[in-house]
Amino acid sequence: MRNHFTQLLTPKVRQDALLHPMFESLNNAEADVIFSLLSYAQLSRGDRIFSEGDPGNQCFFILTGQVNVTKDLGEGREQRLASLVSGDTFGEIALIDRKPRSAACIVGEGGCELLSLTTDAFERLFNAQNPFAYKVLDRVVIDLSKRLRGATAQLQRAQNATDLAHRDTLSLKAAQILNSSARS
Amino acid sequence: MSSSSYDFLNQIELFQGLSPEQFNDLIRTLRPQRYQIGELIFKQGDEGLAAYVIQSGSVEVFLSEGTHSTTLRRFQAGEVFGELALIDGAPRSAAARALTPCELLCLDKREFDLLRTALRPAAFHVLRQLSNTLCARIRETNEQIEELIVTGRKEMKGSATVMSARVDAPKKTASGGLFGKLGSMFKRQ
Repeated sequence: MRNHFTQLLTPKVRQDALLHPMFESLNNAEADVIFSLLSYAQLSRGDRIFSEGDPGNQCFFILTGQVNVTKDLGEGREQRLASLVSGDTFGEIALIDRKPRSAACIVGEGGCELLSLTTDAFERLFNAQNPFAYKVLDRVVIDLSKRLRGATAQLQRAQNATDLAHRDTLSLKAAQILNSSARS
Repeated sequence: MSSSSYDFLNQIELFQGLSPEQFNDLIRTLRPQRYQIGELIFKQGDEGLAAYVIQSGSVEVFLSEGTHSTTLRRFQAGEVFGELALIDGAPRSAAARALTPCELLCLDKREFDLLRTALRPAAFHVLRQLSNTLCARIRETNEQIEELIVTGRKEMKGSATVMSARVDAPKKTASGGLFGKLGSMFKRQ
C-alpha cells in the first residue's frame, strides 16, 4: 500500500484538496506548508488501506470515491461499520493514540483518491503551533468523546443484561436445590 | 500566579506540558469554588458548562433513578472530572456531588472556547492531554464490556447444565408438586 503513495501533489490534486472541509479555509501560503507534508494515492476497489490490528501512524482525507470501514467478527464474517466518501477524514485517532487500528478500511465501489498525513508530520505541525494541526486535533477529540459516550452506553446495557442474567441464574440455582432436595 | 498554584496545576495530567505563558492563558479560565459535604455540583441532564479540578476533598459521580443511586466513580484531590463538557458541551450523562467538603477549580467552558477560537496553544495542549485520557477510558470501557460478555456466556453455559439436571430428575406426582413450583419459576422467564 505504501508503494501507491506519492509525495508529489499535482495542481489538479491540490485543487481538489481545497474542496475538502479540512483544507478549504487554507490560504496559499498555509496550503503550501500542509501539502508539502501530505502524500497522495489513487486506489482501486478492494484495495486494503489498512487491516484491523495494523499499527496506526497516519490519517487519511478522501478526495474522491468511497472507503468502507469493516470489523472482523471472526469465523470469516465481517461487518461493515460505515461507508466514507469524498470530504471525509478517517484514521485520525492513530495520530494521538498510536494504537493498532480498531477496524479495517477497504476501497469501495469506483476506487478512491486519498491524501495522507503521518503522525510525524502531525507532530511537527502541532509543535509549530500550526492551526491545521489544531483543526485535526479538534476532530480527533470530538470523535473520541462520541466513542466514549457510545462505549459507556454499551457498558451500561451489558451491565443491565448481566443483572437480568444473574436473576435468572439465581432462580435456576434455587430450582436445582429444590430439585435435589426432592430426590433425597 | 502564585508558585504554589503553579506547582499544583503542573502536577495535573490534563495540564502537562504547558509553558508559563500558556499557564497564564489557562488561569483566565479557572475559578475557585467550594462545596459542602453532600452538595450537588451538577445534575444529570444539566448543560455541560465546565470541567473541574479537585484541589482538596473527594467527589462522587453517580446515576440516580428515583431514590436509587449508583456510584459510577469517585475522584480525589489532583483529579479532573466533567471534562467532556470542554469538547461537546453535551448534557451531563451523570451527576456529581461532594463526598467531603471540597475545594475545586472550575474550568469554564466559555472561557476555554475563547482560547480555542483564538488558536491559543494552551487550549490545544489541554485538548491533546484530554485525547490521551479519552483513549485510555475507551479502552478500559471496552475491556469491561468484553469481560461482561465472557462472564455472561459462562453463566449461560452454567444455567444450561442446571436445566438439563431438572429434566433428568424423576417426576413427582404429589399434587401441587415440586414441578408445579419449578414450572411457575420457569414461566417467569
